Amino acid sequence: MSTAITDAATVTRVPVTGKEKRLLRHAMMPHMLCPGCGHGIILDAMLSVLSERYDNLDNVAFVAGIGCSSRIIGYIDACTLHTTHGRPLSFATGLKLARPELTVIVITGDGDGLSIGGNHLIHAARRNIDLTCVLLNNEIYGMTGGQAAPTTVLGAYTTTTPQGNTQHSFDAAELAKAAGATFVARAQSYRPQVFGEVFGQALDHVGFSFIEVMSDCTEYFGRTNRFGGGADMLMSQARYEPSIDADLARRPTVEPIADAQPVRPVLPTGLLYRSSRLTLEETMGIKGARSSEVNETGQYSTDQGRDA
Amino acid sequence: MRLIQGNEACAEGAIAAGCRFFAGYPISPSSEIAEAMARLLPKHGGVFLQAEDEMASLGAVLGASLGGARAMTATSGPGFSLMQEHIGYAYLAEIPCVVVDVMRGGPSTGLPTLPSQGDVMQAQWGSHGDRAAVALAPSSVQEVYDLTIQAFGLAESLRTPVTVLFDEVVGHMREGVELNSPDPRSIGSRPRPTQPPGASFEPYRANEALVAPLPDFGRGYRFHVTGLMHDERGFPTTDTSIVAALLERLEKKVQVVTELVEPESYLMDDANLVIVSYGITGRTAKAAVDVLRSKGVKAGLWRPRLLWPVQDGLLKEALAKAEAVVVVEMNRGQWAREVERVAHNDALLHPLLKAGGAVITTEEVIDHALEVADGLPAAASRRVPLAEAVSWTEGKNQARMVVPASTTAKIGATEVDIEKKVGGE
Amino acid sequence: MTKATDRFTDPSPDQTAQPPDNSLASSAEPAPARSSKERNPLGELKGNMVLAGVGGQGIITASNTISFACMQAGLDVKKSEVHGMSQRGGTVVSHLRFGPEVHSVMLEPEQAEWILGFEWEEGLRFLEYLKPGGVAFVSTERRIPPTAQADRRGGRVDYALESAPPDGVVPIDTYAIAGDAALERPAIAQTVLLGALSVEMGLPVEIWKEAIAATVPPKTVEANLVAFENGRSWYKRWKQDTAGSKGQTVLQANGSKKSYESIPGSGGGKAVDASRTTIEAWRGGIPKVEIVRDWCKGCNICVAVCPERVLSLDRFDIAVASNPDRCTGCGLCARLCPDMAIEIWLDVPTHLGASTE
Repeated sequence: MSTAITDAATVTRVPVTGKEKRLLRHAMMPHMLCPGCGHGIILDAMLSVLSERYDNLDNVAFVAGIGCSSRIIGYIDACTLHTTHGRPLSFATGLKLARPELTVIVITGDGDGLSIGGNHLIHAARRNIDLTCVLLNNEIYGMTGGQAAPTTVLGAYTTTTPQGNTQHSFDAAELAKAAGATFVARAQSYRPQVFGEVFGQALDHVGFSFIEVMSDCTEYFGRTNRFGGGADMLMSQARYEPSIDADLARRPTVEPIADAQPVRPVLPTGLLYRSSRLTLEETMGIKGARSSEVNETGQYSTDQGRDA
Repeated sequence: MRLIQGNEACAEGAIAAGCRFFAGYPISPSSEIAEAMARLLPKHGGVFLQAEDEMASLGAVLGASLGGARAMTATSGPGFSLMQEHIGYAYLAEIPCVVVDVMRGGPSTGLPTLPSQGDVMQAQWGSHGDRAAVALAPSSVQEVYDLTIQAFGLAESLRTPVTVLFDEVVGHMREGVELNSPDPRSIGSRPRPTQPPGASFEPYRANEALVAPLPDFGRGYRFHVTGLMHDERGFPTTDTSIVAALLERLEKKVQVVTELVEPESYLMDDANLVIVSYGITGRTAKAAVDVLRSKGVKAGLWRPRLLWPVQDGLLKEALAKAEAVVVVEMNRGQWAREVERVAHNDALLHPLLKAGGAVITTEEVIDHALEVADGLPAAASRRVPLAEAVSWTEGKNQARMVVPASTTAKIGATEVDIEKKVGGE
Repeated sequence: MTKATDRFTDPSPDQTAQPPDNSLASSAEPAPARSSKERNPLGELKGNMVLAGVGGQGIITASNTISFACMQAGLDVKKSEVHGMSQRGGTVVSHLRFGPEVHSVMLEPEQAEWILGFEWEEGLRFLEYLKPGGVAFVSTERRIPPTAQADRRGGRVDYALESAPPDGVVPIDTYAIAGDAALERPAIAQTVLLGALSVEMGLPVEIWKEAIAATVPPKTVEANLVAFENGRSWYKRWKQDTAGSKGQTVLQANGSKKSYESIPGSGGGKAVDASRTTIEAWRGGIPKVEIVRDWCKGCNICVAVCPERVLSLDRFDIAVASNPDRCTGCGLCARLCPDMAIEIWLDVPTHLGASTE
């Protein structure tokens, strides 16, 4: 060790990571998520992006529903609204319309946002309200103990599908796009920097921006389907893994389901779709809302909503 | 003075009370409130949102309320059922809002659009768990206007959801109304924190009135709002003593309402036959009291404008001198149970109950009251528990429909009397 | 061995005459290689290089081409391929050594005469392997490899592409130079790097062209040759334009004008010290890893993803930095820690220039 340089009196501590931690509610940490849960990675990535944009989150409001995904907002030092199951987008809509100058970010899960709250999702997309919705898709209901979700692919095992899932699954990104979202992206917990990139773009985008994040439920989805621990699941996101299908087929009591999707299908990631049309705030003529014109010009005012 | 509908008066009252956000979903017979709000709000710089369903309606209202807006939604029975989830949320998370329920016949899709007072119990117990509801019951268009304004005052100052309950008849009735704009300061507003934003701010630390000051989102105070049981910092807890204390505070907090909403007492000073009724049937009963007085019956009316929480003290006082109590309501006995609880004397009770969509007429009230009066002071011997009273009233309705007397024969001599009277009409 | 390598070895006309790709065998029975060396004036050439980029950019093909060319010149060649989690979009690194006789394939820092960076940040990430005075040909193309996070010279702790690159680095806009064909097949753009490299390596152009023809997909031979020629002529021009403006210093530590050799610790001592100094020079500070024990839930992700094996789980299943000196400060563990329990920072000398006097 070259002591001449690392002498404590003469060194400055420069963070490589960890700037995002000042946006945490430290009194609440450690968080309640399971070991290896992908949601924590996304929480970190989200705060990293925000920490580069804001000194504090006074003008950012997080709204979430019920479920593992939604619990992450409790650890963010912002105005955080932990609502009822499936309804965060309705609360967020009211909040945004009442306070158009706030940056409103909705955190929802696959069960919360697509099953019980599916209606609110498509209507928020249809209205093109200017907020960002991050849907953490772990393909299962984690908080209630690992039941099948609308995103659980055909053939996968959960506590309510002991013979393999018999229902087809949603493609959340396609759903949001079809419903009228003007910004649709998909990311993975394995690639937090890709998430960070699209999350930043989503914040800049004026209109309903939707990001589906493929995340890992290690304790339920992983265990039930024998995918290994958090590290194994994370790595399996990197590539389509034929062996997982093979694993499923090897399960002795179960007949493979025809047409079954691979449990970790290859999904396109990154920015999937982007367009521009008037936002709900604009069509309602609400003062203080952002103008969707910047989507066309590309001249985003990243200072909007920032602290003075 | 303007001639307007009850539903319109509700919207006008909301605007006068400073309501600047409305989200709703079409449903009869409350749709006119949404229509009026859609017309009025933009003129006042407010926002009207037609939501995708009733859950979203109240969700948006709560979101807007946290943003600082005075917010309201309006619905009817089926929608009120869907809103229960968020009413419970608003109660526990202490978010001010006003929910208007224009009652129609239920259960289920029920009777669109005939009147009912069938959602009275739902207003208190519709959402799961222990909850101290606040529900106002206007009986005239003017009162719809006034009580809607008061509902906002109560909701804001107590940080709690307030329900305004009226039936289809009141909602669609047109009357001359004095749209007197109240002094905004007199309406009541949500308490604000006195300390500056900072880590030590606790959004659920209550003041001496048991209400916790509420800052808006995005004004420097960063805090957590949840529907989970929470501590004073607003963060989830399963500490049973904290939870018990929270539930107790929330219940105690709203009791002050019983001192703020005046019931109507009509000719109660010397009344020995007390009619208890609210909403549209309160008006019917009032007319009946006049007729009864002309016939020498010492009748009086006690009409609560506040259904929840029950004004136990005032009600007890009203019943103190009564030798007979007639509860008149358009359901199969909901608020009558509360009167029964407070009276604590079955001998006094002679409810007049009617569900099914037809309004209770003044004649019916008079007939019923006369019959009760005839039995006085021997009324004490006729202990009619509530369950029997229901079937008794039902028998009376059936008699009107010329149902063979044999089906109600068990009521005995009384029943014959009724048949005579009905037959005479 | 990948299929690409098979494609390279199979059509090689001299395959039977060459020793097996194995250093033990090579030294035990060196006769055929020696004989070709003696006949061949090119036989005295030797050199080392690192090829780095992102999966899918044609790095393996390029290293095959170079190897083929060297073998055509009668040289002994060894190359390694590291493409772990990298089918498409992952980090790919290849070490390549050639000379009259090559024993070990792996390079240590400061041993490579050349670096071929197929992606800007990946190329810069391996600069520690560059010899003083060496040349790094780095494509300005930018792709985000999944595993490389902050561990990139162009990343948050160092300069961006727009500012001056480190000495020894030749930034090459491969797409612009390669010609139109590169728009359809991005891998063709990378042949520009070979063109530039060919100027420095000393092998005749004909051997290069032969090697390209033998190693790239048949349909793309023509376009690759165009890209090669373009790269070659571009680099010659670039050398003329920049002649005299380049110093001998290879790496600078955050604005320090000191040459690499003058940084304390680099002139000998233990290998770890040298490597730490290199990292320090890269990053402008010594990376430190800190774990909040109370937050860690022992999921093992950081242990699995750390490229340097810095971390492990202790007997309480809590992550610990068991080899803190090996940390390069890439931040991968911190970014992928679901518990937000890891923090990376740099201890940056307050006055780096003064402290190195």
